Amino acid sequence: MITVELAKLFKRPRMYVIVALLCLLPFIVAIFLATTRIPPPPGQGGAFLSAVLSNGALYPAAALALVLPVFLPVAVAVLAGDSIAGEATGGTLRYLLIRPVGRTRLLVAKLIAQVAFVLFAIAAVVVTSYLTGVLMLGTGESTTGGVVLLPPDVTSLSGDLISPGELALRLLGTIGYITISMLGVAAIALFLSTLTDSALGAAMGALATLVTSQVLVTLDAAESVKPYLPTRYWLAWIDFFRDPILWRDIERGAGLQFVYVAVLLGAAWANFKTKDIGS
Amino acid sequence: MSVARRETGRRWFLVAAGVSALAAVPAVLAARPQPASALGPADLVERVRRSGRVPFEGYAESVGVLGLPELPRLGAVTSLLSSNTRLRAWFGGPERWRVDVLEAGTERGTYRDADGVWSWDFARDEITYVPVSGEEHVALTPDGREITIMATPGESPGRLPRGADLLPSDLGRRLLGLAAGEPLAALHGRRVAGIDAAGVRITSADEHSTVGHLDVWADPDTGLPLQVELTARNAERPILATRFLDLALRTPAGSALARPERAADVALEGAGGNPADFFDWDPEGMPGTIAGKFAKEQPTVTDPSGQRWTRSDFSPFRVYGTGLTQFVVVAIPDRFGNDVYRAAADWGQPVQVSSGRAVILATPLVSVVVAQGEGRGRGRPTYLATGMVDGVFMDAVGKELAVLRR
Amino acid sequence: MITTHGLTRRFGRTLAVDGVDLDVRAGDRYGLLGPNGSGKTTLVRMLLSLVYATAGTIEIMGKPVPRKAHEVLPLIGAMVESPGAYGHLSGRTNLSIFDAAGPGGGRRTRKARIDEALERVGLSGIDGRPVKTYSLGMRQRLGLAGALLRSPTLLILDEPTNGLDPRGIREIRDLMTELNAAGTTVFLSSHLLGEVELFCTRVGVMDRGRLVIQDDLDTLRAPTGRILVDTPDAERAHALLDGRVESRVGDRLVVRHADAAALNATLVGGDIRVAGIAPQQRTLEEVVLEATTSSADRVDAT
Repeated sequence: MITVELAKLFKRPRMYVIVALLCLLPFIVAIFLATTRIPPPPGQGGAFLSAVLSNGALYPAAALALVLPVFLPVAVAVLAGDSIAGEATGGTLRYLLIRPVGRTRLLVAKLIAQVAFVLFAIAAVVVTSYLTGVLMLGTGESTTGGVVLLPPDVTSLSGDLISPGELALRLLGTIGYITISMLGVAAIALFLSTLTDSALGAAMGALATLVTSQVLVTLDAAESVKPYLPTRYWLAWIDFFRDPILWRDIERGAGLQFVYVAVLLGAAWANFKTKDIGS
Repeated sequence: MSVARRETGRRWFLVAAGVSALAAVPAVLAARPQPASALGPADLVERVRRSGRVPFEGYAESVGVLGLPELPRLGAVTSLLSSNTRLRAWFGGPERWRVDVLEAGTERGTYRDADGVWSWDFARDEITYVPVSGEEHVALTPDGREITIMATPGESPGRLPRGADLLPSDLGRRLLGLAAGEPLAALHGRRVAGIDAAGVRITSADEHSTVGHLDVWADPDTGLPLQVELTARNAERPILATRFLDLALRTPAGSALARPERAADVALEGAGGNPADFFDWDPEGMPGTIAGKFAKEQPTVTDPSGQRWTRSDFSPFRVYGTGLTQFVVVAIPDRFGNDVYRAAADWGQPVQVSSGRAVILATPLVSVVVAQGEGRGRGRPTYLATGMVDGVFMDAVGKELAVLRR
Repeated sequence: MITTHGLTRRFGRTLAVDGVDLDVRAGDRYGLLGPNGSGKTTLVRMLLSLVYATAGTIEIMGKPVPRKAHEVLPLIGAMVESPGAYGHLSGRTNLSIFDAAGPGGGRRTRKARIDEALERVGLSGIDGRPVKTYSLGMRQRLGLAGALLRSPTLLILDEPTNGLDPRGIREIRDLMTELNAAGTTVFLSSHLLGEVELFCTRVGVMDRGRLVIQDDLDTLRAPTGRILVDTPDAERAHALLDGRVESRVGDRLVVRHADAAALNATLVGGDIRVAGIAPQQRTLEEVVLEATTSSADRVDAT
């Protein structure tokens, strides 16, 4: 069933359009950065955006910071919201179920397909933005301003140098962590997708949850619930670029996402297992 | 009721039970009984004072709700007290430590090693170096002579507060040092970063103090402060709270303490950006008493010619009073005087003064007064006084500062 | 093959299916008739474990459903309402996906089985065009191919000839007959009387959630004890068969008589020309109209 879901995912033209859009945003930003060379003011703008001007090899990190807050969760919510509701509307759900495909297995396969999508999408963003960064922004081997000769290695947030091999490892860690971060969104959308036959409704519901969570994260008055918000640790992947790597939030974020997945997958199972398939 | 319905109900029950079990975990952990410490409050304070060399590494968060406006050139300082700060610290000893202020997408690190203090700012892609030893400071004496003194500006008490000062270990020791002589009381123990900490509460005897109570929890074995809460008078919630969330009492690895590799780009002798540069020399010195409080004794320094000077002779600030009601008076350089005054006037209340002008900003915990004496244009002498004292007292300080002359 | 007892499904306050005792025997060509909204589709969905019963039991091939549905469903080929397919994929890919999704049907034989099923439903020539470009009839055939993929012992088809032209309907009917002859039990639901009358051996009629008739088609269409006589000499025949003629319309007489052959002999003996003579049988339509009330989608003022 999992291979079938993966085949369905990767045979879907829509998926490639979404991934292309995800890759396009960092590309557009890179064009402006490369032509104007105007860095965002310190402490403002996307993470790493000023750092990439001196070394484009760090551009994948900046690109992930660009797509993570809005673009990627929207894509995941849309696809995951479509997973059950879309099959129901298309009339294929009933044919899968009488094939028969176990309903629990179907849910798990759908979630795994989402994971595959996120992995594929982030990997695509990382690869395209690495090429974009290196080709358009340069790797910093040239002198800037004629004062300091910058090393070709990437500078970590802590001011240490990251060798290309280590950068690759840290980017892998980032890809893994962001994939885990998106699990929560996928699980929310998947659960809602079992509640309604409207794929759009499920996606909207998941996005509404995320926006609420994002707002509460910035609200000091909501301090007591913050550690439980699904988006609370979303930015923790940045900690991969500190020296030494700060595992604290990464561990907590991953744990939180797994709790969300367990709870929501459980809820989806509880609702879907003996749900009437009326469409 | 159909079979399917009943099964759905049973499954929802299972899910609900799972959720409540997960939700109960933090509550159960928090409700674990706290062990009582046999250590008396005075002993604990003494241990804290002697904890300055305890090595550790950890992660701390501080929450400040002071609500101070941003003063020009001091924004980084006021934001330390008015917002949340995430800190990562490695402490190998007083001359070997590192504290990072973590922010989303950036980091500001302070590294102390044998050569000096290195400040790394990722967002600005900037490294600042302040040598600790061997630096010669040229200063002008009150009688107009130029002298050269050896100084340690990176460790100067005149430097601006930095994120590292918010570490519970640092802040706790500093505040307990300030509060020497104030009344102590034992507090219930607390689990902080996995350590059963003993607590002590300090209240201020002075009626002008804004501090309701200062609570410090420290490791009873090493005396290392783990959590510090400063609560204003008549307030329920602490106005400044900082605590360790992760802590390991071990000597940090050398690799973590090593100064940023980017520091290699900075020539040791080409250092600049000493935070202390902000302050000017005040040749006139400051009065011995303000508002009835005596100036603190200043350490003495010997210049290469053998002459001894007290700190106040070349220091831009002076501390007055005792205990938690101590306040500091800073002479603002003339070139910033008007800017600072204007910014303060935007937020503060004017003080009735006989000559010059003064404005006061009173927050529940800290009061600030900026006073300018008579003078024309940029030449007005400007003083800033701040401390954990109430507005009534600070008003009196402002009145006296406004009539000072340089 | 399929036995249900007191099968009931309630949606809120309406009873969609009300105490149905279905009895489909192995080898049957069972036709479930009933107007739209009579509960046919809900009943079919319950048989396939898509919808769960409020009360009652289902047994298919001797196994309780939905408890053992995972054992029973692999042996069933089904089409529920419209065929479902992924529009952006080709017909072959669709079949391959559905085949791979569940148990039974190995990977190695998949291509051969798909080719065979497509051949059977008359789609052997389809290329890689996506299903969204298919006509309604082609989709219907594709759905049927999906149902036939693993040579099921029971076919459950809901409105199988939807969207097909008369020739297509005929082809599908022939296919079903052929499968039935090879031992497949066929259960189809339809609102088209003609379709059921032409194909089925056994009929069930649903009305407002209840199974009002369930019997062999032959029994339902049993002779009424009357004989229809067409004769140009209607006037004389009427006189000859005095008192036994129930009605006369033009040249057609309805005669109460047990034996058509004997009646024919009598008429011929009376020198009456007989153009046609046959025992009267009730049409299925009459049976259904008699058993059902008004059409479910009719809304009358009360």
